[in-house]
Amino acid sequence: MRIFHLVCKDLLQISRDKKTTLFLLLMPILFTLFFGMLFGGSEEEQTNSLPTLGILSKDSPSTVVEALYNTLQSSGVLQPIFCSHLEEGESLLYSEKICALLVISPGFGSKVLMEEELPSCLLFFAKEKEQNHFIEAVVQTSLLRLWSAAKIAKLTLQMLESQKGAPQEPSIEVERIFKRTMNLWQSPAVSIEMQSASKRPSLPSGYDQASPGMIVQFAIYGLLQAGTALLLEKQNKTLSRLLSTPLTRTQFIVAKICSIFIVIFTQILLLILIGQFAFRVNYLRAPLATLLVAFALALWAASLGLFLGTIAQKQEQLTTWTLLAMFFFAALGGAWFPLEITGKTFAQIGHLLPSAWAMDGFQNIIVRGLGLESVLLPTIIILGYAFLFFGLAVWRLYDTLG
Amino acid sequence: MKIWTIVWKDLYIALRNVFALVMMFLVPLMVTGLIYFAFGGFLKEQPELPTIRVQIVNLDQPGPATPHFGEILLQIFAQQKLSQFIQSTPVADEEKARRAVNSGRIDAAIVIPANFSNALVSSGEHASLLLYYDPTKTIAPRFLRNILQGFLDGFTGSQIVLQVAKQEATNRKLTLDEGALQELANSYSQWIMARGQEFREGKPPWLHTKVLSSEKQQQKGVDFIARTMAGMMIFFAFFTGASMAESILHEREQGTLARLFTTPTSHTTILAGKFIGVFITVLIQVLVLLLSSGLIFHITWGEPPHLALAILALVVASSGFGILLLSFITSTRQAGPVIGVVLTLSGVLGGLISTGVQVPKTLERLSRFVPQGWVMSSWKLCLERKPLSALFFPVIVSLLWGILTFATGAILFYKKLD
Repeated sequence: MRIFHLVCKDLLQISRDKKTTLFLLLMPILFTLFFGMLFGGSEEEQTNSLPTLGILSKDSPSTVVEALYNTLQSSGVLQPIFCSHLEEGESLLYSEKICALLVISPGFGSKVLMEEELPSCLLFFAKEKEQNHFIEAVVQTSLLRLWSAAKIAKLTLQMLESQKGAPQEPSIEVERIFKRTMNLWQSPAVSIEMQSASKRPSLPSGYDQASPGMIVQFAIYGLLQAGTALLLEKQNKTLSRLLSTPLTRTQFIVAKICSIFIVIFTQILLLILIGQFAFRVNYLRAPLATLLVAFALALWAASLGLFLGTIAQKQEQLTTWTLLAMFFFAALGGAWFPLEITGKTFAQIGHLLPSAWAMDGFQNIIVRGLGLESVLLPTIIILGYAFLFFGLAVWRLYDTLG
Repeated sequence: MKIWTIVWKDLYIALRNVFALVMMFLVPLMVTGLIYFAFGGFLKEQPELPTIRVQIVNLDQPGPATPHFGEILLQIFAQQKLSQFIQSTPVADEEKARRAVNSGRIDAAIVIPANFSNALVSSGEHASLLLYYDPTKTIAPRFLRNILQGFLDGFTGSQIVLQVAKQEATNRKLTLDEGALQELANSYSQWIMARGQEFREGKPPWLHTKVLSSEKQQQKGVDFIARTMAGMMIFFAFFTGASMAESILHEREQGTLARLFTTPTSHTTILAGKFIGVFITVLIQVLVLLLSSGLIFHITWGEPPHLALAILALVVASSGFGILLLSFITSTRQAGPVIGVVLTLSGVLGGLISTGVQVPKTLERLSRFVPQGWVMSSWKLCLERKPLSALFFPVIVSLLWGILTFATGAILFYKKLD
């Protein structure tokens, strides 16, 4: 009963603070909206998230250049854009707005159609990167298809010439057959069917990264409000007063962790519901699994909050520690950007942290469309961290209370 | 003289406050450092294509005289060149492969259908190669698709060449015998195989790649990390501007402002001292961040005149905006949330936390409505080594923001103190 009263007191104290709603709910919602748009927004905007390839054509507009553009676009792996001049292409490349710059030499179109020798193209990269191999491979495939179509046109025309004599304007004929060949390539005998392992009916959207990311980030920030309750007890000496009552240290610690947990768990649940209904992130596909990850995340954040509350002497200290913890766990845990796109060491270190496991847990549900089984390992690891921080907090508290 | 006493007192307090120091210097460097680390900066490692784990289920059942193309595809994946990036394992059971993708143990499964070879050699038959992939992976499925596409294109071309020849012959009312068609198909096959050979031997002669020299890049380029650092510096400079202006509220609540009014010091002198304090603190923050980030992240910030203009734009805009913001606030209790919300939102709108990525057009337009957007523009131009004249417009707009917000804030503060 004493625990219950203490929890109610803390919750009342936290709920009276208007900042609570602002920072625990409003800010994560706005950040989710912003990052969601940045990561490609809804599925309709997904093509924007493809790596962009700049094309600088020094050739006059031709069927061949147009076909190259269309082939690259239909590859579904690169988003081509035309650059009007070298200066623009270089500037985009240097500022990493395009992943590579393909330079097409003058007369490229006519050489492809009429000459035996394949005209070479230049592909510029800004830096040495492993992904350059991938971009190069995509460009090679597209160029090869282009030359194959031109070769087919030339071979066909040669064969027909041998039967009926040369056409009056061979270049026009080659271009016409080239176009027809490129069209036929749109419906090949063997096609590739891309099937996502996700059981969800639609493509993942930018919000599938932003929403769980901001939940993880602001769950850590949420401990600031909660940790303040403990700090105030210390500063106002109400902690000493409490300890002069028959309240045991264990009851005090349990009450504190309960109140912090309730605040953060409520925050996470509300953000999950907002994610589900406002941003169409399907957390409720596996409600029990979502609840389990949310529970573990809230418990870990509460333990971390309790721990920081015990080591901080002033409000400013607590804010500082909380902000640093938030940036550290959020960035390394993949809440800002997927760990898949980061360096190997960063990703490996990141995956040691509970925030990365929380992201994994949420993404198993919302992106992969998996169920309860898939979140068991992440949950156990997060709970392990929760007990570790709880243990540290209890040790510090006993030290302080003693 | 009195003004400078007030300035030094405020500076002394600010630079002894650990929280302020953390927010002014440590947090911007830490956030940039984390991003720098994430993308391989400290360890000089580039983000790598992680090894793609793929299982291939070969269900191909070619007819008696048809080559086993499913096997050829398996061999291609096992080739030395691809094995750098792809760890492929042949498996017999499609369900097992799907389960492996579902559980995240592998990145993708390729299922070669039973009529794969037949569809590649006979016209009229259609087959579908299944690429079943983990949706959390962004690069692996695209990479695999491209390899498969390249492989299939060779065969597709062989079919198309016959299709086109027949159509063209029909259009010209010609009859092609089987021998001519066979010869055509052979010519194309030889040609495409030669191209395949060039590809397998290394760099094909028809595509040359070049990595731009780091020297040239340093001269002309805007490093991703430089933009990130600039964004963080602007973001936290605006916080410093507002937090320093908060000292007026602190003094009022603590009663030291009233005590100051009892001295023969005019309100104008007191406010001027406070405002100069804001300006100098932001300037110190910016200079320290520029120097430290230059040392830690090896950022070359640009030409001195460009840099001076960008610094001026930042310091004036952030100080003015901070003073205006605080002029609406009545207590330090209100200050924290108002500063936090207004500056975070305007910073986000100004594009300060999205400096490293391509921003949608709508967000780009919105950045023009907040001072942070204009200041960021100045810094971008400075980093891009644009001509000095290119900086004038964003710098002037930033200064106007700073001067107007400062003037309004100063008037409001003056009235409040009266």
